[in-house]
Amino acid sequence: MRGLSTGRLTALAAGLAAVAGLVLLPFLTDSFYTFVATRMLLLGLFATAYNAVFGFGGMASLGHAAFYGIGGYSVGIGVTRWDWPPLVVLPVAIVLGAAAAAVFGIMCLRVRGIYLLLLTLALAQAIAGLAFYQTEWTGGDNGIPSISRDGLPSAVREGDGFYWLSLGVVAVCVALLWMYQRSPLGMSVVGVRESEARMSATGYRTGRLRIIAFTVSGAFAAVAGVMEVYLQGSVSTANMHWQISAEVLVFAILGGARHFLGPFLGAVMVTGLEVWVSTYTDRWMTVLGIVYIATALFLADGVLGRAGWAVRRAKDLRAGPAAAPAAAPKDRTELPAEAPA
Amino acid sequence: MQFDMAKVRAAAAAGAVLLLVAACGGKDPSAKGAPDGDSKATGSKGSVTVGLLNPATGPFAALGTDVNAGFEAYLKSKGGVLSGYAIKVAKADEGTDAAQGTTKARQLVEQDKAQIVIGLVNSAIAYAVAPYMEDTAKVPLLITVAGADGLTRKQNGNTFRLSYTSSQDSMPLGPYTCKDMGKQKAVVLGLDYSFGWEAAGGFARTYEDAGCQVVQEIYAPLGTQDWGPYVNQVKKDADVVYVVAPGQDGVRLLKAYRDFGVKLPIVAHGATVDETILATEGSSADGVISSLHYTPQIDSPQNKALLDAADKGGNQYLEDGWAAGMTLEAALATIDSDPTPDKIRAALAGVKIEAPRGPLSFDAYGQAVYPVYIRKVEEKDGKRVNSILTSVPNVSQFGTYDPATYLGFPGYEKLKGSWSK
Repeated sequence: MRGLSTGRLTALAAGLAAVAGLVLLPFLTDSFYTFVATRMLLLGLFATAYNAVFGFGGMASLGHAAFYGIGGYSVGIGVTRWDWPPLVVLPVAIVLGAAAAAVFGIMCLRVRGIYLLLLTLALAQAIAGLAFYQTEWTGGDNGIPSISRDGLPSAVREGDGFYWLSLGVVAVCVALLWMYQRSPLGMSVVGVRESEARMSATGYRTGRLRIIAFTVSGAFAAVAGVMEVYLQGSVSTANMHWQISAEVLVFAILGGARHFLGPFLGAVMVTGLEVWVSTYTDRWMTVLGIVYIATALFLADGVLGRAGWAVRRAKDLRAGPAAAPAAAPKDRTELPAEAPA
Repeated sequence: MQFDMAKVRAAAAAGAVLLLVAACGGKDPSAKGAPDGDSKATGSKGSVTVGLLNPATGPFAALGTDVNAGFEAYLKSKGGVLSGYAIKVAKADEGTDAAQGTTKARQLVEQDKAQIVIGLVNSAIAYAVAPYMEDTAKVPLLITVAGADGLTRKQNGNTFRLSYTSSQDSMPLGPYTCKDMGKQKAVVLGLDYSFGWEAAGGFARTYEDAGCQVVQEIYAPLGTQDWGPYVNQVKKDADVVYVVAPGQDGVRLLKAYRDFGVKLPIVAHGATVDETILATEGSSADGVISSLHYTPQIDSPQNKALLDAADKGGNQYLEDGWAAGMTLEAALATIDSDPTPDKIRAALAGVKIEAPRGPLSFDAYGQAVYPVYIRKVEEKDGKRVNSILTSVPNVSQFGTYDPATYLGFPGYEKLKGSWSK
């Protein structure tokens, strides 16, 4: 077994242990924590999808609630009106989410930074407005309740089964996003983030790349929205609320937007913190607010960014005192490109 | 001037920690366990865990706090024991969206083992929580504020509601305005969302069926800051304006109405002038006639007990919480031992109590039937109050209509805009 160094073996073992832990989780906890874990997975997928635009595309969107909500309403309307099975709902949601995201991308071709943030927010609010007032279709502010999971195979309809279904869907989607991000296409999107001028001078059509980033992101965000609504059994305008867009932005920054799994980690941390703190105090929002402030102050490169820095620094120190000063410049916190100040 | 970044950060961190400590200091003493002082209460028949699910954050936090306070005040007045069962209270924050609401409902049922869940203000969250309680948890849900008509449309379910359906309390006002007040032509002025359409619809239906005409409908978005353009549209040749705008919208609407000098008398849904905002509305609310199932002016020993226990004066939300306590007590009185959620559900269906609002029972759909009061805002001892003009007994969610006929009507969201045609 050449090529498998000790380090790689450790990583492999850790990976296997993590997978086993995730699969066996329903046996290790009670039904409530399994439910919370399902939410974490789905929000993690949403955050990972979001990061295709934010961390890797360098575009701070504040409109992703629209794609998430479109996924949700696809389930709500499809299932309650026409009894669509999941295998119809999912493709429809992906197409709708991707199409909406493509429109967002086209509308945002000429804006950058804070203006992109405002424009995506405005577009998403327009879609949320539709959801609020088209009561014939969406049930208005009351939303669509009692969305049945009967279309799902009975083994994965409830509790633990649904957790495993979500785990499978999330694993496939995250793997696809990983492959996209590592592909020449994904890499050229990162190139646009780094220097749009240089990319277009080299012959890339940067506008198209930006639209592609949005489309991919929107499609997977819609999948997360679909699964979340199957989990909750209802969809309402809250699924399109701009706070969802803001939350996913925080997930990405907190976990580390420059790292592929950073946003996923951020989603898990915030969701967990939310459930845990709100069990003990009504002022849980204050606590979350402080965490957000602390993130902006100390963790602009996210938890994973900080961890990476700590590892590098430890290595440098071990390499000898002479090498230590070299670690100093890495102390700088790196914001994702065009992150909102 | 040069700052030492490390010191600045240390200071910021210290500040953040202080804030954090201050924030956690807000923990309610009864967030887990029974209310203050009664945590050691023991019941002769055992104990029951009650999940209180009301908003502690977001725009409805004040209402949620009042419902909780009403319930706990009743519990305290009984020494923490209802019908021989020691009541353990587990409280959770309903929050502002369905995801948070259902997560907390699950926590109450699956971790705290609540045998009944009481609360819910936001109708969208109630719509999300109710199917979970019905199909998965099989634990009865007693709604105390959320008003959407559709929540109590299923017979023999396990959803019960003490508070109004959005149209229920406005239905007695239609015939009153048309016949008793003799106002033949009405303008409807309300908020453009489900509660607004349902409340206005309940009024418009009964008003037109009594033989009068709605001549105009004006709806404004939730959170309208400037009501000038809307009150200005009111047709001057109408006889009366029906207003439905709870909360701060009501405050701004009434102010604009008076500022623009609209002279038509106002009839309103009771939530437009309830005690939570009446003081803020001040003189702009004078003379408003409204319908609601409660006013602190009710002269009964049951209401006096509530007003004595609540140090800030009564309002409909405190009464909802208080009545929830009474309802639970009455249900538990019929259970001799082992109060499973199923037994509590069955017992709730047969509950008849004398609440502060008056005689209260549930219909086959779990919705409360109670008297509705036609009230008028007046100044009394330097304070504005909703004094009682008359009351209509036994108002159900179907008004005076046959349930089957009523359920056959199209939803109020479809009828919005059609009343004036």
